[in-house]
Amino acid sequence: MTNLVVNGQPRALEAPGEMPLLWALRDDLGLTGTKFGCGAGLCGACTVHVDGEAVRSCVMPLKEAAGRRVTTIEGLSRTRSHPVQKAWIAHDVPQCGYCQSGMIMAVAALLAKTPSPDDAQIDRAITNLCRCATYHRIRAAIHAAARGAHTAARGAHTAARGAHTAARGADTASRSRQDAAGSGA
Amino acid sequence: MNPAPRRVSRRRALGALAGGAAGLMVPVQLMAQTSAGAPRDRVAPAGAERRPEPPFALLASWIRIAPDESVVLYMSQCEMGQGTRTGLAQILADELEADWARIRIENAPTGAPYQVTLRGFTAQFTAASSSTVLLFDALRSAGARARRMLLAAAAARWGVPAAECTAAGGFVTHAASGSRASYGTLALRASTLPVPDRVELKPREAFRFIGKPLARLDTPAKSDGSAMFGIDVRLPDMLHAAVRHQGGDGSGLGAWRCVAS
Repeated sequence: MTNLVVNGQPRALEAPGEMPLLWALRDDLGLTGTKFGCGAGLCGACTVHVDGEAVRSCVMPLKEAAGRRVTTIEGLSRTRSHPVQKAWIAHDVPQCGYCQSGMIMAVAALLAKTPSPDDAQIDRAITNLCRCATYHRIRAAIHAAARGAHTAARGAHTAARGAHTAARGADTASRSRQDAAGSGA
Repeated sequence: MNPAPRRVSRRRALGALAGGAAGLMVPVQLMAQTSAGAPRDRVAPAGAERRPEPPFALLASWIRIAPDESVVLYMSQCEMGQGTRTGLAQILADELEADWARIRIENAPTGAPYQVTLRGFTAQFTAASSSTVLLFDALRSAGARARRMLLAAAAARWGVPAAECTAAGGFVTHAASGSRASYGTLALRASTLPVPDRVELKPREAFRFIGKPLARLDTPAKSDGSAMFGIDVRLPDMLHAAVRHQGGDGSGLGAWRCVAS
């Protein structure tokens, strides 16, 4: 039996302590917003918060979360009102969307510690992989969330998209760095 | 917190069509592009297009307009991140003259009515960047038919000619009398009217949503974990399977046993 707090609610799980936290969240608690990606802690699709820290739940045994507070994408906000979620929507960040729960959780943890990260800090902290390569919008949304620019109307995404296109070339280099960082994690 | 999987069974869809759920649900004959050489009138004449009855393969889909003003499009195509469903909704909403903010998309069931034909291959598929091409005409026709039925319902309510009524933004308006009614309030009556055989489609210079950059409909669900992916589907007594790859290049299947696991 493992006792932990998930999205503010005390939970007691019968699952084996060696089971990855991700499996317990998805299969025992039905919190399927967190995704299984590589299963090896490389891609970040499974990122959740444990005591406020971004962790890759596919490689954290359930017993390591005992007595700790776990927050998943479902618990980040109830109404998509977290600044990162608002920025994500304003910038139409997701493409297929599979990596985005983990991406949003990683970014939320980053901004909690580093409210206004520069690009280098973003590259170091956000090593999650997005195979649709939405990195240019991710970065723009991170800066927007940091500025609070997400409060602009959602329609502004159209104008922002043009700017992203212009910035896309510059993003290619940083994407390579992100990929390298991700696979080396 | 975790949303229950939303499944729209064919039975449920048909039940709604039969009156189980209130609202206009248009059983539209959609036209699928067939093999090369199928007639496609791409030349927009002055004013509205008039479309011949197609000798195309038939597929069916449903638009449901409910009294709560929601406009639901039951979508046969998968969304894999290219914005397909948002694009198809734009096509539908344009002829329907819907309020974009009211458009919702739900999964259509699987079944023969959703099969399309591409280069002689008939199936229900999302592949080959074909969704918009295959459904462009069909969804415009569907939207136009539903709009015509809503116009007719409003005209009947007000005792005026339908030709004097206009539709825009989810409302039907009769300017001469100052009458105005929302689609939601007209849906029930409209659902009792015959589905028009032929519809006129607007010229492209009148497009309201087609070709316009709009925020994607799937973004909010992909920002809060509620978007359903294949790995998230949970069904009663569902079994899981995984591919066990061969051990090395050139190796093959030696033997297999079928046993309960």
